[in-house]
Amino acid sequence: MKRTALAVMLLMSTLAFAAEVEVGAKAPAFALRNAVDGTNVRFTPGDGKLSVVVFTCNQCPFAKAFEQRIADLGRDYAKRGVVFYAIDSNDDAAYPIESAAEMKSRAAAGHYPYPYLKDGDSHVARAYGARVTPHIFVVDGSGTVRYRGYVDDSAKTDERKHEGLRNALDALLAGKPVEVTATRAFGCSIKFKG
Amino acid sequence: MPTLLAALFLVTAAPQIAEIHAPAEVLHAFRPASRVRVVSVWATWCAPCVAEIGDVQAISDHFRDKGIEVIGVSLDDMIPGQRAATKASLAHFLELRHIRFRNVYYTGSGDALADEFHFDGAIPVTLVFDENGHELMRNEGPLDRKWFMQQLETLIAKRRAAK
Repeated sequence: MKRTALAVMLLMSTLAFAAEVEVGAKAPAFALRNAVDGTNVRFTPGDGKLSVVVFTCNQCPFAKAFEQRIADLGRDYAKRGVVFYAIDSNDDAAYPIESAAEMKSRAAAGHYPYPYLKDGDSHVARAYGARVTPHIFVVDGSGTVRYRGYVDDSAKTDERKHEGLRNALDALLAGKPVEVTATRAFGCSIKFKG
Repeated sequence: MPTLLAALFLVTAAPQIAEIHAPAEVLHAFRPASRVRVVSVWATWCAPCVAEIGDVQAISDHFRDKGIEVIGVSLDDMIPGQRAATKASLAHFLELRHIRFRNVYYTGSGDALADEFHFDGAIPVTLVFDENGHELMRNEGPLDRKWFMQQLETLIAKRRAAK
């Protein structure tokens, strides 16, 4: 029975969460509406640009704890040609605070230097295997995932020992291998639609 | 002054919540008499965790006299803030929700905890161990109270039959 219980739980886990896109795999493309200005934003992996796909949201305190950190990184690295895409994949029918209107307000208040895209049916989160907010995927110019996981190992500046996102971007911009390619993203679980 | 009085009330009314820093300390927090040990990893900042905390209390109530103990491991400390204030806020939350199962306040790295208990970083996660620290079952994600209680009943029956 113990094995049966474990097997059932593993099956439930498999059904609940798609696996994260592996480092070295091709990143999924997407086209989503930018909640900030209503335009459609398309990400075509292999467009020659080093890109960062950030799964985040409005309500999660853990995502909020990283909000300005990510915005600062987005601002810094935009100067070096890195493109950030912030995506909210939470079901806004169940959680109205995740609506496009609320996203627009949040992006304005946080001075987001990148588009804030609504993934209303959560299909992009499923395609990437994103589980939590914040959850990061770094994609190189050829469209290959080169880093996935957390922004940093701690939301507390004084306890931060590893800067996963910054280290990955610095390495890739310098043409060097990324030392730590996969970390464990912590945070609020994504509230998938359906 | 009212704010000061309110803060004082929170501190004085708060039940004692032990702090632990090392993941291995979690299983040591259980009473030796507990034959089956349920660890609920959660935080007040996690909406599904808050939604299920009443169910976890019900599970604790139902199995308390059957040798099963539930301990909550709060990850509230992962959010930046004053530790004393966060702990007081956690204690206040537990009191408001009438949560009586024991909670510990985890101050170590989330990554280390996830390594120790082999979960992927998303909470809630509920783990069940025997008295020797061997994992018997787990639930990753929101808890289905009825299903989980059935699993625990089956575990108890199985262990009783094995004796």
